Amino acid sequence: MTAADQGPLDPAAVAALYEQYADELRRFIAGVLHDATLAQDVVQTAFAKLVEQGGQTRSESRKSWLFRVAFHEALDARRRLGRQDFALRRAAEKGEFDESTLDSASADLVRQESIEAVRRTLTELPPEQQEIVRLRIYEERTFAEIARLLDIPLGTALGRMHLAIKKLRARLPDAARPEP
Amino acid sequence: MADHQPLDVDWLAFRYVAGEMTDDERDAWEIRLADDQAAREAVAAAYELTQAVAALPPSVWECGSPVAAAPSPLAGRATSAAAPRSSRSPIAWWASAAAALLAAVVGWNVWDRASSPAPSFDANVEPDRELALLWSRTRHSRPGSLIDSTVETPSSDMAEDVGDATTDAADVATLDSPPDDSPDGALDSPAARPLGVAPSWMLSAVSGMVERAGDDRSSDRSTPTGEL
Repeated sequence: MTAADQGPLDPAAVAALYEQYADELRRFIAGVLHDATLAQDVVQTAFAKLVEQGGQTRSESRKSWLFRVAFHEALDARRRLGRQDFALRRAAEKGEFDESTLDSASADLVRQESIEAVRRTLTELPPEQQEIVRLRIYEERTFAEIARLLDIPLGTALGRMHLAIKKLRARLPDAARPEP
Repeated sequence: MADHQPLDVDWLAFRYVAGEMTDDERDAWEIRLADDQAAREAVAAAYELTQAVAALPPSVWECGSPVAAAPSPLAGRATSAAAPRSSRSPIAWWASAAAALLAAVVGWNVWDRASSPAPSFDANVEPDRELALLWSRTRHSRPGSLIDSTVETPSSDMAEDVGDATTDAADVATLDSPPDDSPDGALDSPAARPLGVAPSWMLSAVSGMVERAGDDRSSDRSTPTGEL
């Protein structure tokens, strides 16, 4: 760390970092909290800390620093909202995504190019993998339900989803925006 | 900390976002998230992936595969929690409609053949000379094509075969009336057909009869009477 790295960050540098990483960071925290609105609050807190303490970070590791700080903020927020988190986990155990993941806040986190990439990639998947993706994510069925529905072993259902996720993930556009 | 395979990271991240992990797995994963930037980015990607699939409009899945036009980000959200979509796809409907149409066409064709008046053949009327000649030639040729039989020299017993020809041709005519869409339908019309030219469908029928008759005769010769 050089002397130039000490002290508050230049607001323009923070704005550039926000432009570059904020969306991906919101998606990460939304994945942790299952709550896009709360994720937005956490991300804002993390960037506020970046303004205050960013000078103590190395420029090449600021993304990692941001994600780590936001993750701990998310865990704190989840502990503060323990009862709500319990309800979320119970819903997740039943294979239900929380409704908050479907609100407009979460819609802002999904890029149009990602939706299009997913749609294109799905067409290239074998039908049995498409079916698993549809049943698990789109219809929000559990893998146990899917296995029963398709009359296949649970491991087969998981294996097909595993392969589908691998292909879909590979086709997602790069998360971080190019540096301005 | 980063010695895991990327595939494992993506799969674990998906399971984490989808709530598929046990409490112990989740705790271990979150310990890893505290230090592993690749794992954190994998969670972000898994979240976007699940949301992107959930955002696909229902029409994307209606054909049994996601082939519809580009979706709107919010198009699928209103219905994503709805009951499972119908598994009856438009392709199945089209296939059913095509099968029904095919059945209707075939049925109509059978009905038309059965109900349309078969060309009558009056044995008392002198048959077309062309047909008589053809019949005579083909009866004495080996079973084969009509073209082969027509190049043979007329035999001397042509006259006695004419009577047989009229009977057999009458039978054939009732079995195989001409199709309405025959390209030479105009020629097959009795009014339009020049005298002495047998209708093409009849010539074809006779040719078939000749072949069958030839086969029957050859089998009769080869079959000992005692076995009948």
